[in-house]
Amino acid sequence: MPEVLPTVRLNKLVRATPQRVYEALTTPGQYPDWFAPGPKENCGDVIIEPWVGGRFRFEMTAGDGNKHIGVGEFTEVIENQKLSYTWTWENNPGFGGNSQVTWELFAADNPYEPGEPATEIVLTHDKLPSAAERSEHTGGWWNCLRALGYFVRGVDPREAMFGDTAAASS
Amino acid sequence: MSANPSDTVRLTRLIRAPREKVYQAFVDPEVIRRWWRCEPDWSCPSCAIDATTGGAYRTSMADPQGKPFTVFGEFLELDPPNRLRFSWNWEHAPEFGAQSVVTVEFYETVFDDQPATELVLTHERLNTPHERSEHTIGWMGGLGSLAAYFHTHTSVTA
Repeated sequence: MPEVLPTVRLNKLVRATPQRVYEALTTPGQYPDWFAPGPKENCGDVIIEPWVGGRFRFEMTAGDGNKHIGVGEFTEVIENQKLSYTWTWENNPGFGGNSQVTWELFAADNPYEPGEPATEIVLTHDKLPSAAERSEHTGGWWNCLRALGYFVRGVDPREAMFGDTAAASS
Repeated sequence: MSANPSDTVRLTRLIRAPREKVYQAFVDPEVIRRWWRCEPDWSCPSCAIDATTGGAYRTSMADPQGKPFTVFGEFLELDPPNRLRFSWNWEHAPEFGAQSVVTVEFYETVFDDQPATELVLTHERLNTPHERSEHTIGWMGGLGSLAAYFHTHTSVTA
């Protein structure tokens, strides 16, 4: 039986500079706008220490009201280009524990508004050994990337993705 | 400075059905018409497939206003129920991702004690960020639609 690569990778073109995307990735106060958004999901306290050995920690409340805490440590940081950190769910370390998340940012042509800035984000989540871990993290990251794409161009992600009601109640 | 990004989009999705059935969902026009769309309110008005090596396919999806988006190409490899490989072109945008190549692999797995499939979709030769991003959007929607099709058809017997 062949082995599946233990890796999830997603590409997303967003309408903002790499500097703007990097700012969203490294500013805790901006996480509630784009990180793990949902009609009922919310991101709470976030710690980002963007240097090698620095901490990455976030709290999120799922739709069922349960709180999930993700923790890790930065292993590579190149300003405006790359961030890599380890990843473990504190209350479920068997699910994707000690995996590795890497964000790469590439300045790109903006096909929607020629001449305006754009960034290709390549998000890689490695060391996910099971099909369920890969599938679940793919869905979660895809929501984050969609929200981030709206957020960095000044559009409210919750309103764009879930409609007015969700935005009003969040 | 980082190297350029890869020209490949690769996505994985857990599907709650045995892989023989998931494979079939890529070569049987009657099944394809039930799920081939990138948004839940789109449809698949037509699908023609010659599922042989070198055989052609042409499949349309349509937005809620009925505007069609048609892909076509030919099968490069069929290895049921393990793997499929086909070329990829858009009729409405001949330059966009033209002659790119899609590989779909089907791996046996178990979910909730039931036979399931990990589908790995690789779309190569996407030369621009725009092509990679748009095809990621489309396949995320498409594989979500496929997963939903099987999720609501789990009681169907072989």
